[in-house]
Amino acid sequence: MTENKFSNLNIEQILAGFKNKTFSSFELTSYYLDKIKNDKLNAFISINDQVLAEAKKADSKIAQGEMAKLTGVPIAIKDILLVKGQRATGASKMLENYIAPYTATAIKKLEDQGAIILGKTNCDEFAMGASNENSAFGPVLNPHDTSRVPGGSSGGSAAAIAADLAPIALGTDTGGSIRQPAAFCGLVGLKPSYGRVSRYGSMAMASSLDQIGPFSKSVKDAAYLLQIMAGRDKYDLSASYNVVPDYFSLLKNQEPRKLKVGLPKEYFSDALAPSIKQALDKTIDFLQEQKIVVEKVSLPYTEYALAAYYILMPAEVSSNLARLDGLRFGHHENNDLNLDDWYKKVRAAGFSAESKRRIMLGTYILSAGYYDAYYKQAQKLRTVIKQDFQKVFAKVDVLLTPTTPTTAFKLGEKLADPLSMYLADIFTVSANIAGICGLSLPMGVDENNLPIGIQLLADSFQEEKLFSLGNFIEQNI
Amino acid sequence: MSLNKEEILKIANLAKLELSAEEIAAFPNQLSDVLAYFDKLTSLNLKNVEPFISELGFSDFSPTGEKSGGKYLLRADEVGQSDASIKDQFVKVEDDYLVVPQVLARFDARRTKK
Repeated sequence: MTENKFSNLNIEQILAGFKNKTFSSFELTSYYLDKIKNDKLNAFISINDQVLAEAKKADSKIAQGEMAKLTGVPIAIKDILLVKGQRATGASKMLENYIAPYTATAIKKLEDQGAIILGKTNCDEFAMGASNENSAFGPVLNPHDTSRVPGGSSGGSAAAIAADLAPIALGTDTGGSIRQPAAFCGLVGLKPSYGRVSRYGSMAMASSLDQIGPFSKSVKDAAYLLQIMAGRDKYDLSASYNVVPDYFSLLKNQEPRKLKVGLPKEYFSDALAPSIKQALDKTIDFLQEQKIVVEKVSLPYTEYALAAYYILMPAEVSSNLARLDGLRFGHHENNDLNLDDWYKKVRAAGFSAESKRRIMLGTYILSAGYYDAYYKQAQKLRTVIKQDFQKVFAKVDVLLTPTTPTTAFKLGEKLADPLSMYLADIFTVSANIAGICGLSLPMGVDENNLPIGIQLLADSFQEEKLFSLGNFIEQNI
Repeated sequence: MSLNKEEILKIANLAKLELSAEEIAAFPNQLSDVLAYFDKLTSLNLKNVEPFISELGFSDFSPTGEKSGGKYLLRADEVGQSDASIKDQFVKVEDDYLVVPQVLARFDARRTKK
């Protein structure tokens, strides 16, 4: 592919390009739209047909010197998030023709700063999957190797940036759905702390675990986007009133060498692919050369986190997806059916096999006789996992771990074996269970030239530590 | 724990799902595998641990920004304006009303018999 002045731009370069009149928002947006229309990866579900008009408006604002933080900057949005007047499918037949009646708060905040939306990206149905193969609109291919998956569930957002169909994108992360595809596609992906970003306008999967976050090519861009999206929201009671720090300025001012880094031994098992182990070793060597304190720590309940996650998440999924019954909106039946048959027919036609599996698991887990053994036990485990992290974060600032046990796997490899697919989340789910924040950073490639991701974890509402250390690593390795 | 075909059908019925023949064939093994993975957790002794309930309890502020003094405060229950465009997504509309399938079908059937 030929490189030109539009190739692989980050936010800073885009804003500079607009300011210096190297290119306009209209030209840049046209560049992305052309690429999206010729995309063979299936990264997008729909395109915003107003985006060029919006780019033109942005250009006239720029010409008048009225530049907000993202004026004219195009962004791709995971099709789990609502944008008023645009399709919002959740990558499901259930909502194939659904038009969103309002805009998600996180997106509204970006739009208020001038961002323009290229379109909605493909993902696993209702954000449930680790490969993006579970989409009613077909799988997304990994741009680094089209025989492999881009990761999931936010696979389209990750593939779109990696293939330069968009400079930045939003995803959602319930158990790793931003960090894992970021790792598989060689990008920066942030799961903010629970409550940092409003979930209003994000289709609820597991409400106590879901968070919206950015994908980008640099840590700086992630900090810049979180700065804009974070904060309270009267429409989401779980969105925190905690003050939003000036992440972007802190990035320049904070001294990363003062941070203490912990290596949780439970994340460095033999199951880890050797190339990923090497990428981590390289990072650890670098940190030690820079005289950053690196010490071994332990999170004893780590091995139980995935089992707890696959109890808590389906329990919430089975409740949340009960709203999809075709009575008010979405897929419905035209036949004159009684209510029970209506529900069953609508839900059979609207949901994929994976959604059904998770709804059934959740229904079973919450049913009489099993609630204590499964759900209550998992909620207790959640308490001890949170305590594990609290103890460790009293000693160190940031944890360094792999993001995934392997690099991107082949399409179809794990489809028939749901448990093996679930195991792809093993290093990411704990952050959601504990409500802490996590950042995946690209760290070289493996023997097949596939990107490797490393994960930094920090305590709740300590995103500035992730950015500080992440930026330092990014700039120097 | 493992689930057989009858149990799968019972759960599907509770979850208001109709399953395809392929799903009925595949789900017993697939879901039993996942349940077996949970065994490591159910055998763990967590007798004296309080179950985690909600992240919200840790908030220092109410949703409207008042200091909550450790208590969780709800926002005032005020009637707001809803967006009329929401009706565009309705499955079936009659005179501004949303039309849904007959809910009391069985009760009605009994009455007509008389």
